[in-house]
Amino acid sequence: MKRSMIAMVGVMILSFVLAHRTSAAEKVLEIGWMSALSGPAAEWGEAFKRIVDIQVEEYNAQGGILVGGERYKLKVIYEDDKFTADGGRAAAEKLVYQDKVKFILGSISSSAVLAQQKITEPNKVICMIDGQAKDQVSPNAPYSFRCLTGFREMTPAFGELLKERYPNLKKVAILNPNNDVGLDNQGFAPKMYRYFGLDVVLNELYPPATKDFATLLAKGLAAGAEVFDLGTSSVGSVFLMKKQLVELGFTGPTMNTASLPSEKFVQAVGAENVGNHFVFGYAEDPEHAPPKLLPIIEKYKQKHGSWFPVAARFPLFLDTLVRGIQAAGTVTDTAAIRDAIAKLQPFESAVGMAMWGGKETYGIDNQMYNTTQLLVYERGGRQVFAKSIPPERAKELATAIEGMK
Amino acid sequence: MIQLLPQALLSGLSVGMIYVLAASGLTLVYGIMRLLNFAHGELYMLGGYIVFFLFEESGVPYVLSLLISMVAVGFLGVALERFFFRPFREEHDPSLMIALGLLILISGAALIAFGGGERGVRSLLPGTVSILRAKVSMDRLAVMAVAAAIMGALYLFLYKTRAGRGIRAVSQDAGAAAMNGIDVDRTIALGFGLSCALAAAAGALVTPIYFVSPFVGGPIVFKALVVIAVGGMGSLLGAVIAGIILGVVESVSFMFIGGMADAIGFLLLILILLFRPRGLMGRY
Repeated sequence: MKRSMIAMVGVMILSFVLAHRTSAAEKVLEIGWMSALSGPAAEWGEAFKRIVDIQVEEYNAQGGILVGGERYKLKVIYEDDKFTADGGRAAAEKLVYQDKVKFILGSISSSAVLAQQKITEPNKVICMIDGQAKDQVSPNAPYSFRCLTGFREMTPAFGELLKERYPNLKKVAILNPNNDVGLDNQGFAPKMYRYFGLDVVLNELYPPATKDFATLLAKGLAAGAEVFDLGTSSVGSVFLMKKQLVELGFTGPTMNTASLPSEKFVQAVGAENVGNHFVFGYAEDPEHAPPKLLPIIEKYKQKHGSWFPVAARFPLFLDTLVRGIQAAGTVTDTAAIRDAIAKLQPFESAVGMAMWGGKETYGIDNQMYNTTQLLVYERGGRQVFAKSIPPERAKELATAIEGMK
Repeated sequence: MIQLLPQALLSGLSVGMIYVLAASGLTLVYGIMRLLNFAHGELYMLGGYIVFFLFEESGVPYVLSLLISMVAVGFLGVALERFFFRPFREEHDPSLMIALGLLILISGAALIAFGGGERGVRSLLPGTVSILRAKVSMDRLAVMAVAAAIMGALYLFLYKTRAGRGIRAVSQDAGAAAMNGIDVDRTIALGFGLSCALAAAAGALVTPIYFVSPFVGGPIVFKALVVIAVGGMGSLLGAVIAGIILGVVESVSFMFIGGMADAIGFLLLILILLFRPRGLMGRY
């Protein structure tokens, strides 16, 4: 009895020591994350968070990531930036000064990114960002890498598609919200269409809170528009414009750059009305979907019931950062990691091949070009694959168009 | 450009009718309580969601869904008046703070309950008609007709019924109304409930032509405030005239200045207030 008691105590002490030794040996790499977890864009932020959760779970299930011969488990600290400048600054201050992270995934909102860069750049914190504002990719922000394509990188694929699929269509109307990104696209989009030989018959801005577009759309139709480019309009504005265009009798091609929540788009606009609307996204059918995306979609569905197509954009953030850290062989020297990320050229990502570029446009090669896919809604609400262009072609087109007068 | 005028006018008229409906509830409450109910837009949003869940999700006929949304939000309004506004009826500033607090509370609760995305309902009357070469959907025509019918019913209620006359009496002089045997508490509760029902009706009517989300309340209450300031605080007729003017002016200005069209409403407000500080038909 006495001996067994001693043995039991011995086993307990040994297990405690071993467990203690394991946790001491296990290194943890803390990564910040910031996006909207509340407010109008919370749905996007939630999708981004879910993707990062899935990725972290996978990395940690494999024992963590191997950097310079040592394994690091990943731990993500999530902060809500509310998709606003104030929220972005507050989230960045907390992550950098309080949590002392060296890496941040996000933000994906232009205003939040521009605010966070005021904190992250002087502190040499590497940020994997999104958002459409031109200034967020700049030589003044060398630690920020925009992981997703903006309208400059994406929309030339639509111009090319129009030439191939609708060679007889010549007149385009372009509508953008009256904000900094809309204004930027109002300058770029006409050049893009001219590059493909199309005439721009209307290039207007509208107040972002507009609900009734009938007059503006009728103006485009009166000018002979055969294609409507809804530009960088918000999801809600796209819903309304598509619906109101159909009410005015227009059934030609339309396009917008924001990712649409497919089910809600079809429900809000009507399955019979969504036909001929082109969006940028990734096909989910095995024939066209990027091969590495399919298991992510499957896992997302298992965990959350249904796939949110916008989420396809998010695996690049953590994957690219991890590749850079591993290539640099350090988790502390962010200058070395920054250089290593910039050298990842080209590489296979969850959404196909990806590469860095953008110096001609932004003055620095911190803009990602990845495989661009265009999907189209058929009448009835089904979304199908329409076109794919490789990153090299997207880069070539964006550079050529940017160089036009 | 002139060929677009019928389209702009028709479009402006349909938007204007929504402004009228939203602003009439707001001006009614201002008349009886001297309160700018900033939460009015959130009740508009709730009306839209009730129609979405009843009509789109549960298959309840649209007209019945519209009536249920008006009754439900109307009763909610009665409860809000009883428990939140009545204790501070004589105090202007706390009432405004409560209205702002309700705005934040209801929109936050809606975001949690319904999620952040836009929800629309199927078309009620598919198809479009051409009027003077302008195209307008049957849905929009129906919305204009129903909004006009509701405003007509509101007029009849306020001018031809005992309860309606009570509301008008309280809005003119609550003390004198009380001395004449009008139960002021009940009348104010009825007026507030009616105002909320009107907000719900506006939200329910626009859902088939626009959509509903937890964030639709802010912009509409902003427009409704412009409408009641231009029309005259507390004046129902003023709200009708100003609502239609604002809708049409915004729509026509879209033809010429696109991105700045929103500013026209506020320019109109400044101009009218410069020359008529009480608004077009205002008493206060």
